[in-house]
Amino acid sequence: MRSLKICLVLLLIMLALIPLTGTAQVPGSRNLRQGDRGDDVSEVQRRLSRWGYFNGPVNGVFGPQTLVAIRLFQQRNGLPVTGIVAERTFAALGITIRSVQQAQVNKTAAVTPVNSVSPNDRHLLARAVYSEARGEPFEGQVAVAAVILNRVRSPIFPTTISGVIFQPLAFTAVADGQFYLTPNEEAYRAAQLAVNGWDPSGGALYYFNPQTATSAWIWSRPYIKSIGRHRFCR
Amino acid sequence: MRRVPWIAVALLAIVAASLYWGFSQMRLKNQFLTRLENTYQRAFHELSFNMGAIDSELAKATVTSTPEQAMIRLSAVWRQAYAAQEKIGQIPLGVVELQSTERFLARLGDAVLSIASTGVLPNEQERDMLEQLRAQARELSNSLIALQASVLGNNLRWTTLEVQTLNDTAPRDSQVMGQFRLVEDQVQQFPEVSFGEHVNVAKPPAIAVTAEPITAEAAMEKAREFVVDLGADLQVISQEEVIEAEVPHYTFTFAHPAGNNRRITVEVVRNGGRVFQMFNERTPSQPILSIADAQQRAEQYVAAKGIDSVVLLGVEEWGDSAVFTFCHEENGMLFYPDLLRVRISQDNGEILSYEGNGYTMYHRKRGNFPEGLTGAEAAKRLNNSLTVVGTSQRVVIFDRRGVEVMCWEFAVQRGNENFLIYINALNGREENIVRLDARPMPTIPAWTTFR
Repeated sequence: MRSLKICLVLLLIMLALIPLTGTAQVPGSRNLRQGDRGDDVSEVQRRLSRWGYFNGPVNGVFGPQTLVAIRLFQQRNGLPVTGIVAERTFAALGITIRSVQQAQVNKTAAVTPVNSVSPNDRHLLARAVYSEARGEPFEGQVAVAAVILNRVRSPIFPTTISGVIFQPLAFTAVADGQFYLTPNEEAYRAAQLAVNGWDPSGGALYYFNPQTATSAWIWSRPYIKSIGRHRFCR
Repeated sequence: MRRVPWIAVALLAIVAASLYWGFSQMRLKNQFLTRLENTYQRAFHELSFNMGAIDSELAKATVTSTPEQAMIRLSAVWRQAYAAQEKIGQIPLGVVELQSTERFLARLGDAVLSIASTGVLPNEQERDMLEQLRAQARELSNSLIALQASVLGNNLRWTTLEVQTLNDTAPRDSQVMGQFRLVEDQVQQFPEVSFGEHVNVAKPPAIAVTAEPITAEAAMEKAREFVVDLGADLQVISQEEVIEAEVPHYTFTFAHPAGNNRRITVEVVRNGGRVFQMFNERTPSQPILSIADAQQRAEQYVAAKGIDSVVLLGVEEWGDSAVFTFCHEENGMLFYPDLLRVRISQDNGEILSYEGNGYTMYHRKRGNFPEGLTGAEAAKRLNNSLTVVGTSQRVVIFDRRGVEVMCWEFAVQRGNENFLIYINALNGREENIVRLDARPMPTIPAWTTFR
């Protein structure tokens, strides 16, 4: 009786390990069909379930449920209904095919207005936006992020995002520690849009809140426009 | 036997404890203040060192007779100029502006790097330029040395000044601040150095500056037309003419027909009347459209705005929406300056925002480009350890000085790293190298936790 229990436990452990044995495949590096396992299958399942084609568990196993979902996806998107995930289906799923010959190079990197904005820099930007401009209209938040990026580009300010943000006396929310609050999703969106080139501030290098600004000097900057409670200046 | 006054003892103990606590807090505060002061002092004194080094390295560069020495010295100048700029950004200067000084350092750095990159000894004209720059750098360095002496002599504390600036009680006429202003004035009075080829020129005449200005009424029509697919006859909430902006424009705010206080903002360039930015922000709900569907919407949208012959350069996926980047294409040639972006929601395919700064500023009928090198000829200029991936194509980009140049664009691979390399189609010069970072772009962990 006890040995049966042990056997059962062992069996359960082995079953639990099966999904882990799937290979760490980069999505798009091979075609997928029923029976395949791996991270690439999970990625396809994630996307299918996000768009409502797939209700099963995201487990990295290409089973019958995944097959049905793929066929439905292909049918609805005007693709040949093969049940196999290959080049065109990957593309329709938004998965870039990474094999050398078929590489569809994403060229946005070549034309991004501010180069090398890493995810961590975006995080810093989002924190600055949240601490300086939460509660402002969305454009006002994008504008604050844009001012930081305008400063990075300007020869009269530091040349990195962190250099600009941490410049002494530059931002009150950095000085008083609000910068260390956790930003909300809106702040991330605003930062992300600014990184992509949106700038509602009209190329501003400064902004201030007339209600709370303590420095008389800031009023001497040429005024561009107001968004929410902030005045943006050159 | 007298009773021990326990209450008095307890009070005394409390007073003693709080005195001790207060004292240690004060000591801690002073320690931190001193540490902060030290970082400021370090930046300030290093700034003076960097300026001195610029002067001395420039001097060496003008007396050397070998290209190697010239290159080493000029690179050192560039490095010191960059460092000096950084130090200025680390001192709490507050109301003192050192803009001219920073601009001087930036241009000095650009110019010497450009001369260094020629790989040969500076010619006569370049030597002249270096001499002039050197004289100016020397003046600046002397002023900073005097300022340093004054900071040391008066025992100026940057932290005190910082606190005063925050409370707006900073003495505007203190000796040190006065001296800083003198430095800035001095730089402003430097005679103009002619940098020739060696410094950035302005970007090409932008349409948005040279075209005929339009009236507010005409601009409003353009704005309405641009958002007509969100609703006809939208109610205007506000309008403003923004003259001081980099690109003078009109901003119109409309009420979104869906209500809920939603706003649509459209910005129309005053000169020429192109729409260059639009916001229709909201948080998309559960995404149902695939990226391919969203792309189709983006393409339809752009076409409906009368923007034809553009091609998709790339997609940035946000999970619930996607940003599509397009640029102008003509005869198989891509014009990277003429750039526009559209963000499409993946729940109902609505446009969330539009950005056409590049397209608005630079898209125009350009003259014919000369034939230039063939792709095969240009490919010979590539580093021979590279594998060219896919097809190469002719593109127009801004070069380092901000001038439009025609290049061959090669997507190349070495090991598991990908690059884009730009070879000038007229003279074969390698104009730019872009590394395509394979790390996923916008995976901000917090995004998922907010849902």
